[in-house]
Amino acid sequence: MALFTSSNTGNWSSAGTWGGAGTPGAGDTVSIGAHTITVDVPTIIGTSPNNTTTAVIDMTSGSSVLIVGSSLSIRGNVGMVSGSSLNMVAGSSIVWDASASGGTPVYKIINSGFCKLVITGTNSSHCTMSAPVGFTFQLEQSYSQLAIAYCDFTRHAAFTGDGLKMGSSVGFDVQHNTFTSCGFLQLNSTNTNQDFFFNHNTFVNSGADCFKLALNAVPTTINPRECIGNSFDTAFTYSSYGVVGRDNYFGGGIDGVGDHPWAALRYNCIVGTRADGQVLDGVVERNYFTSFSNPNPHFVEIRANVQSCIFGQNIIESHDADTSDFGDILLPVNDRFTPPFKWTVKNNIALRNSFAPTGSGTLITLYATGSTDVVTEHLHNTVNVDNPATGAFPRRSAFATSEAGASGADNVAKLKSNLVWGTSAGQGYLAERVNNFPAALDVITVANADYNWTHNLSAGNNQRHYHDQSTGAPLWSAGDAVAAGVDTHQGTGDPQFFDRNRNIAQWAQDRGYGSTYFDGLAAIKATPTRTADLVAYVFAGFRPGNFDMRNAAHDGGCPGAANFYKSDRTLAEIDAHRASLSRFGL
Amino acid sequence: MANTPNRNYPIPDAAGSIYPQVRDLAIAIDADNILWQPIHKTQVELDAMLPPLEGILYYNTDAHHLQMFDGTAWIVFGAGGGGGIIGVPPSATASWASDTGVTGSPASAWESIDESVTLAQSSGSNRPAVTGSVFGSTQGLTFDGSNDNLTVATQVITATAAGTISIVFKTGASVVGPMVMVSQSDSAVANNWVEFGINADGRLYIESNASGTKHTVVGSTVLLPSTRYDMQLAFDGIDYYMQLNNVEENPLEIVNIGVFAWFGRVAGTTAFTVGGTITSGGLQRPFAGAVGAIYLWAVDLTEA
Repeated sequence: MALFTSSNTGNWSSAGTWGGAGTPGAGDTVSIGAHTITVDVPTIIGTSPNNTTTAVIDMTSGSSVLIVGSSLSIRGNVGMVSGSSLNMVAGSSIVWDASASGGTPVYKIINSGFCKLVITGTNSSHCTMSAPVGFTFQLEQSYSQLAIAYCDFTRHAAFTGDGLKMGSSVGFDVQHNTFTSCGFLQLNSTNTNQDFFFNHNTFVNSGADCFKLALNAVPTTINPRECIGNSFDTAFTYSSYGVVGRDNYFGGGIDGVGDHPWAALRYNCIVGTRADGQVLDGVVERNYFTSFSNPNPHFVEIRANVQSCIFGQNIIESHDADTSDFGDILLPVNDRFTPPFKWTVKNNIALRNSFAPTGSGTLITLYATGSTDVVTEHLHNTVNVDNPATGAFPRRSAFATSEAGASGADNVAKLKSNLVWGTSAGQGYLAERVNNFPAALDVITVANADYNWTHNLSAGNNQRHYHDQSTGAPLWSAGDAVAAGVDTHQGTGDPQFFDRNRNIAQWAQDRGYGSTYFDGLAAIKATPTRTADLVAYVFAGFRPGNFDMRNAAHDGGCPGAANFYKSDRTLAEIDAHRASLSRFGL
Repeated sequence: MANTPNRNYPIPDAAGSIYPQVRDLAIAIDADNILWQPIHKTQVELDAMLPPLEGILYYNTDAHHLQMFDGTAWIVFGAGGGGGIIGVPPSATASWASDTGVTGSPASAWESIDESVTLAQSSGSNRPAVTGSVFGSTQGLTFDGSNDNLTVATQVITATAAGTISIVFKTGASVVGPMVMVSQSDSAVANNWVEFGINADGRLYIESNASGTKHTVVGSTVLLPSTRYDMQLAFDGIDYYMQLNNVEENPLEIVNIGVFAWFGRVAGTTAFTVGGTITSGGLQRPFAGAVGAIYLWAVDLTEA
């Protein structure tokens, strides 16, 4: 065992780098001054201490270890301070090897300050960082630079503090990496004006929670904050402000912390297996929400104090037994938002449950809103309400109010041009009051409930497919829907969907990814950008072809979420024209 | 000017593909060459038409001239590179005019573009730049989002109940609109136009404004910055159909559709503009990005 101290910038394998007295190897330790030491050959360093405090590479400010397509096996911890840097280029690897320590220490970066970690693998030549089977390593530290590309991490330990935390005025760039059999990881920053990229990363074989994004300060600039194209196999925790989330696969759903909105959340596949539901705010569009093995899925639980949210063009597919309740796709809970509160729900498609013979749940359930400052608007949604006439949860609705407490007047400020349907006669209702709270009258605004389209629904004890689940009492001060003049332009008839059976399983089959629900999930997990195609595929299926619906909506369009399907439309000439555009590199 | 197309005659070529019928072609703006441009075909492709439709019009890329089939034989306009629509690279004095040889039946296909029409290129700093390799190896017109535009001081499309527009474009570094790629407006008043562009959400839209009453149809896709797209929008007089990169924009969000509109609805002191909308207040909603080509038809190409 020997301590080597660098004397010059140079290759690790050169004795001249270490004062001419040989080169450090297994059983040795090194101290690096303000030099750049290039690991040019496969190298082993360290004494295998059975602790997380002994540094076998001790770096000072200005020092740098650079691995150039070679490997470095570290048998111990690495001491880094402000201004020191660990760099890997394409084809390089690090193994944090505690196998000879006699214990299971989690080797890590120690000391203090804001160090630099720069890994520049390439698409064709990844870097790797790992620990042997049975061991883990830890990069939790404060960084003044964090740029990691195309690196495959295996067996990184769960964070115990703030995770990988950025220093003041420092962003991060973490893209195209894989994390296999890693613990709960976290990227953390309170900076308001930096670029943050966490894109195209893949998590495999994670624990119950795989990743937490904690950008906890409200941005003060338009610098990008991106979480794009990632595949999270288990739960993702969002504790950030203003992040653009796009093309991700959230295999364990999203657990929102605090009142933090997304800037926008689009084209994600969100698997809602978390019992407390998703907590999402901001603009939430063109996502695919699905859930399995959950007795009462709450796909989106509205919590944060965001006062204007849009939930639009999303697809919701339950694959649950729904043994505990019918399920609530959107669930505003009064203790989790602050009025005035407005939630616009438009152009969403709630599919038929692909596991049980029901719908996927109420599109929205006003649990206990109880305030006239709460405004929800529901426009152009397509909702299946298949429900057996008997059983634990017979005949439910697309829109439900007053579940745990009286909803307030005008909580449902708009209910227009929605398409609520069943696959056979006598299914659920258009809208309902769950419990007969006497004060819950006029929750649905009379003047703005109109132009909805129904098919195969039950009549409802308030007529026009409106229903009180408790005693059949009127929903409006003026009486039932007819007496109150609600939905006077309501239409009824078979929408003649282009293909009402479209869901993730049929998509998988049509696209050649398999034939089952889980085949479809696997296809998106492998390539999260496929969600955009899945959403477009389902939307195409739910285009109504009934000519009576063509302009029957309040805005002159077609009721429901999707465009009218004009059966005699032909795209041959458009296609021929597009073929002539090939010279534009399209 | 109404088209009286001989419909339902897709023309198979030797390879079995289908040519678009010329009756649908109204005008085309090609930013690559800065001209009004008909569809290009090679001599082999033209020879494979069995038989060509009367009135069909193409630019022959082998012979470098515009040719029209009169029901019996091809009539060639111009000689060598002189045929067709003439274009001049941008300069302070550049202008475009339709070819004087385009007469008779083909002229109806070109709607109101006649011999007197001039595409007036904005001068000085208002000129869009011709930028290479914007669309693959193809040039594009790059608009600065401030004042760049190209204008025809007349109606390009007269009142038509239906139509189709196709645009090849590339978004700029920011896709926060509203910004207009192409419009037809009454340049003498404040609120009278039909325009196609990108809205504040970054979505495609078409909007008509009749003396302050707006009717808007919005696409579903939020466009990404610095990205190439091609879009086709067809209107049959009742329904809009829009596709982006060959995928239907579904749903189209309709805002006060009430009075349906197409490009031909604007009268008065008309301006047809690429890169914004011209009103009595000057250029509005200037486009920031690049345009590769704009094609307009006076009919709905998706009609059977």
